[in-house]
Amino acid sequence: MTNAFTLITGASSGIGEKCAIEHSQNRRIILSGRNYEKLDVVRKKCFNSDNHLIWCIDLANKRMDIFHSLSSFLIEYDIVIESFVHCAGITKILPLRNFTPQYVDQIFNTNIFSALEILRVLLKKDNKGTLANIIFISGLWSIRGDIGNSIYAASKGAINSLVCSLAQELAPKVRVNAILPGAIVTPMTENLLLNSELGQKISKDYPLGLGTIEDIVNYILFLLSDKSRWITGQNIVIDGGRSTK
Amino acid sequence: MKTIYEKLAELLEVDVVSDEQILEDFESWDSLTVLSIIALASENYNLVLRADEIRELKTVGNLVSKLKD
Repeated sequence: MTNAFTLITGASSGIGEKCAIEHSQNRRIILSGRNYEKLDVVRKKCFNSDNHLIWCIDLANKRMDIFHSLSSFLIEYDIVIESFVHCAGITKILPLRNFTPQYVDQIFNTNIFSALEILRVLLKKDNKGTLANIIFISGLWSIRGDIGNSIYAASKGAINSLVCSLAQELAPKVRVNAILPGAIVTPMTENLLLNSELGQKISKDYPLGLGTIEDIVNYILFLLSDKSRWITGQNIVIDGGRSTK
Repeated sequence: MKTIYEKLAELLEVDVVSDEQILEDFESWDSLTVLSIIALASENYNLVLRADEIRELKTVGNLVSKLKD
């Protein structure tokens, strides 16, 4: 095992959790999220759980602390990060007219600004030579319209653009890509998607039906592997055909 | 912490609301307001409401008791 870690945000549930568990077969993981206890539960599900670390931080509300917190963490453990997978993301279904600046800040902080702070650390000289792979979880609503989702969509759209320019800026050493998932069934969405009329209506829009966490994680693992070595700067839509409508 | 009446007044873009007021009489009562009420219900009351359920309600009082169900 190398000392080069994969940092995964949003690792306490959903895509981040599954990604951490699957990837722990090949790499040491830094699991990141707000809640230490939840992260520790996931860490124990990982292969060789003692190999993996937990970095606890509130990305929504502590944006200004991220840089210092991560820098100190890496120094304390004397480790470097090879891959960064930004799975952390929040939304709030609300018409724009009812949004408050606090909600807007929390969504943008979590979905994009926190990743910029993390990247500022990973691109400093101590880590720069190791960093090889950056993967963002964007969303289909960054390229398709949806009522009540405009702020979320805008934050994900910012990711899409970031990926394009960052791929240029960091090539050939670092690859940068984003995955744009359609509706997938997670613990957070299953109540809505599986048990309501709205859910049935939504799933009709998906030629291949609704997606699963595995459908997205499989592609993350591909992007993390050398098999994708010629792919960078891409916004990859994985949506069971939803965007063909 | 805002009361439910204060939150509804904010959504309906008025200073205060009272139980007997008719929802459809509010100038800003539309599908986006209904969506905001669905969000309010799920965030504050852990309640999954449908748009048509909310549309059936007549007064502010009906809505408040639905939310407090």
